Amino acid sequence: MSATATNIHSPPNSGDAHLQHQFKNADQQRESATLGMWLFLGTEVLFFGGLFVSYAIYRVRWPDDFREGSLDLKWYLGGLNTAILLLSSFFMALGVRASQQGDNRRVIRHLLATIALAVAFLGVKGMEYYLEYDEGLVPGESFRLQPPPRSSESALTRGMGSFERWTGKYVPNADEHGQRTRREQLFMCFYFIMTAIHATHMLIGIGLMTWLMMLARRRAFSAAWHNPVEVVGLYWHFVDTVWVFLFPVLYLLRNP
Amino acid sequence: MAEVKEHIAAPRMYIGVLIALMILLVATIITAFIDLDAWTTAHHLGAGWNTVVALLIAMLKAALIALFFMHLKYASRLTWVFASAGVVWLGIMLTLTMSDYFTRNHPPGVNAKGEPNYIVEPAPPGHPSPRIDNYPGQPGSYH
Amino acid sequence: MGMNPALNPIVSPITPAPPGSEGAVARHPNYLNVKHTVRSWLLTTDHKRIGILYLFSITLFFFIGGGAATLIRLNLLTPSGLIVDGADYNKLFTIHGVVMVWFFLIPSIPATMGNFVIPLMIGAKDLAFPKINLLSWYLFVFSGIFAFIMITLGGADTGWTFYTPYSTAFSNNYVTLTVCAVFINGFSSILTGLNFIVTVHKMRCPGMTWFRMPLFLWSLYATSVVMVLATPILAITLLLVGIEHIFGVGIFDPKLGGDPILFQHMFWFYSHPAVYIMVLPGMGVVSELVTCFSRKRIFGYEFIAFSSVAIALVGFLVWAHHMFVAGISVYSASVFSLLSFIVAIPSSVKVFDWTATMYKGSVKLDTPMLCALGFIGLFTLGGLTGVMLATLGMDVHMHDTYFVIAHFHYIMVGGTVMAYFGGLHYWWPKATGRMYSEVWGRVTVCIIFLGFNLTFFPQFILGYLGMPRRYHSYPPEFQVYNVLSTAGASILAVGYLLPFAYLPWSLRWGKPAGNNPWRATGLEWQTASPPPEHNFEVTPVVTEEAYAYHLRKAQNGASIAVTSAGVAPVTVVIGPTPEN
Repeated sequence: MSATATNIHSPPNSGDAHLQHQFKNADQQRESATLGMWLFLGTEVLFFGGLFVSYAIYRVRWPDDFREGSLDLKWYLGGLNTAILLLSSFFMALGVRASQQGDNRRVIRHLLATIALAVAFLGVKGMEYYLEYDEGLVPGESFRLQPPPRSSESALTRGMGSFERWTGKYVPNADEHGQRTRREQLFMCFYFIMTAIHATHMLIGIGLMTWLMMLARRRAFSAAWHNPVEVVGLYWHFVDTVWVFLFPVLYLLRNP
Repeated sequence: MAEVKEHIAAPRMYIGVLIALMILLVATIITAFIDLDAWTTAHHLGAGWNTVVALLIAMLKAALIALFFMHLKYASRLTWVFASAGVVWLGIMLTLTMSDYFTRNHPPGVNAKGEPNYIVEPAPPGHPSPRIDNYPGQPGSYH
Repeated sequence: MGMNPALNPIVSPITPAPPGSEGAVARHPNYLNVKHTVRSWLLTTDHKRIGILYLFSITLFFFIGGGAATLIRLNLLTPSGLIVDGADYNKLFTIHGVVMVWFFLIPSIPATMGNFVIPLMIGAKDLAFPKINLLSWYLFVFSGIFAFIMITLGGADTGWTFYTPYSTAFSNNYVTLTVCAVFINGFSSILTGLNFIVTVHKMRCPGMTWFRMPLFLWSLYATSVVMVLATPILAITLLLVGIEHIFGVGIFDPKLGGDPILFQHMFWFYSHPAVYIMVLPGMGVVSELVTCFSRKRIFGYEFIAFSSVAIALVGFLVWAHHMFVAGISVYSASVFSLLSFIVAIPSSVKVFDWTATMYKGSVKLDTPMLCALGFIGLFTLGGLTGVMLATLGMDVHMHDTYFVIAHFHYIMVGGTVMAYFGGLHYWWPKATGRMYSEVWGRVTVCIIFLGFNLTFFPQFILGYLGMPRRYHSYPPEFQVYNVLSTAGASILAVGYLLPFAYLPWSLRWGKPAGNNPWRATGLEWQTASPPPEHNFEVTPVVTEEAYAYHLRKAQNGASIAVTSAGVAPVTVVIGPTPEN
């Protein structure tokens, strides 16, 4: 008869201040949160999927133009970014694990590593955008059909055109005919839109992780309650997975 | 409601998955630089294998991330349903949309190259000849 | 008994309000009178209050869209166009379409009645994510503001379908704003659907198995699946349209290798299933009404339940029947035509089941039941003409004529709006604690039914005769039917305005409703009217199927829960929730 407000509808000894009134117990709350996130990720699959489907249709339709477009991208930067993102996902997984054990200090450490890697990813991405802008690859008015002629290139360094740009020495990039096709813009459209939407998702993820770190600083997470870390973790791994598909689809079309 | 104990995996597992992902990343880059079609077409296995291999590797990576990083391996059946719904629906969209694009250039009576399957009698002089080559979706007239 | 009296200030749901005692309804603490400030409404996470917030917002949009429709019908009174020119007419039907589709029909039943009754029906205290529920409403309002700005600035003229390349390359008015409005609105819809799905999976009270759920929940579950799986495609499609419209890049531009028909594929991948977002909840409402007002167990419960799911699934496979004359492959078109026929099967299963439920039932023609009957008739007509339109060869002739307009208005207005009014009247006593005027309710439904048929039946004939849609003028020989249609529209307008008088009137002067004025089954009728803030004082336990009217024919009390446990369809167990 010493019932308190929380344990009338929740089993004894869960004693959780984070239990919201509509749930019976912490399990129900956690399962609902995870399911909700998985369902949201399902909508995200379709959101990106719409882009992938239209990309696939155009790719089947204009294989050569898309290949030319892909060759103009810097595969090594894309590859580097993939590695960065996979690593960030690894740290996120460790962060979730730490939260399952209720270790707030390690949660902060792993989240910091994840955020640092995410920022690195965005930095590389920004650099890539700049290089592409510089090479006249942005679709629309500024798209250059006639890039400067290329110097000697092997099959492997193809697409490395502007690598030395950072060191001040300009080595231009161009395709085999010395001429881009108008339809290559279609590929670049998809490249920019897909990567930009992906980057937006990453920014949101960074924001969410910052919020988690603030919670962890207040020692909010415990083995009994760490739903936010788990749910944001799912989101972050999903963003990673999208890139896992974007990388080969956009950057590695050398031999379609 | 039964107490569902959460699965806490060993860090070793996460490291293993990370290494596997990195190996697959290297593999996808290497295969992209090899012209698989040169070999497959020579052996009558069709073309487009680079794309297939790249996508298969990507799916493998995604599966590793989902199963281990996202704990799908330890999740309920309902979670599996929710996780696969988006992918299945994407499949529906891709298949049915492609059903249009793969058959659009073949109006009845015209083969894949856009040639008529039947003989068109040349029209007598002074009459417009029967044309089928401006059927919408016909290569050459459509774009 | 682990009941602390201090925690239960709420009137017990099994204590019926004293019958006939004026003011008794307003006295017990409920979700309406627990707090009164504007802040308590705008920051509420109570699903019932959010449902009310939605009710107000979509009513506003219903009248904006209705205003545009009025102007359209007025303009078509004369062959040369009575009040507007072609350009303005384009904007009028765009506003009408955008507002009615995304700001009224899609949120109509799910976001108002769904929000209000889902937790009540499954015996939960709230949806799984109450804050996200509030966020949905704010996203809706936010997108509504965009829509307002778009309309006040002058509107867009693309039609609600935003077909490319017109919307991307040629239209020079507020396409971007409209796209923004619909894009944000989509998030609201996704979050609502997500909330409903998780709630139905995770929040059901003990004993509430899937096959004891009211059919309204099955249909809302199916609706939510469509919302969650289709809307993201709309979002990405509109994003692409917006980007192309602003930056002039060529995603759908044939000059750069783009394909305008791809837009149509993506758009209809959402927008055809969206038709089922609009009509499935209506079917759910009708399932509730038919069985309640026939005092008879529903016929073929499982069939109705699974037909909702089947409609949701098959609805995804038929979208290209909107594109038969757009230049898609004829082979693909035949496949889509065939698949479209299949949707007719689960839909007609429902119609047969409803009719069979009424057979030998003691049908009572109260306002909600009149709406349900209207729904069944009009939906059948709309559905059968839909089968005609799904026929590939026929659609080539009917496409883009008034036949199509009449067809989908029979589904959307004759179906969904009818069911919406039915549900509104049915749950009105639960939400407000007062009965509306039954006489005025019946009169209104009859006016709506007559006005509706007079408005839209002539349009079938017009379309059959070949009058194309989306033109502000027409050849003089079509005038007779257009005048009939406009006359019908004015009757319809009266019908839609009448509830504005008698429903608010009932708030003050209506009879107190009691907990269960319809003597209906279902948990929502077990609690007080209006329900207390957390719905149920104790978590209810369900021991019977959803529509056990056959077990309790003889009863006529205001509340059913006071009868013995063996007979009552629902037993309310007082005490701590048993673990299941």
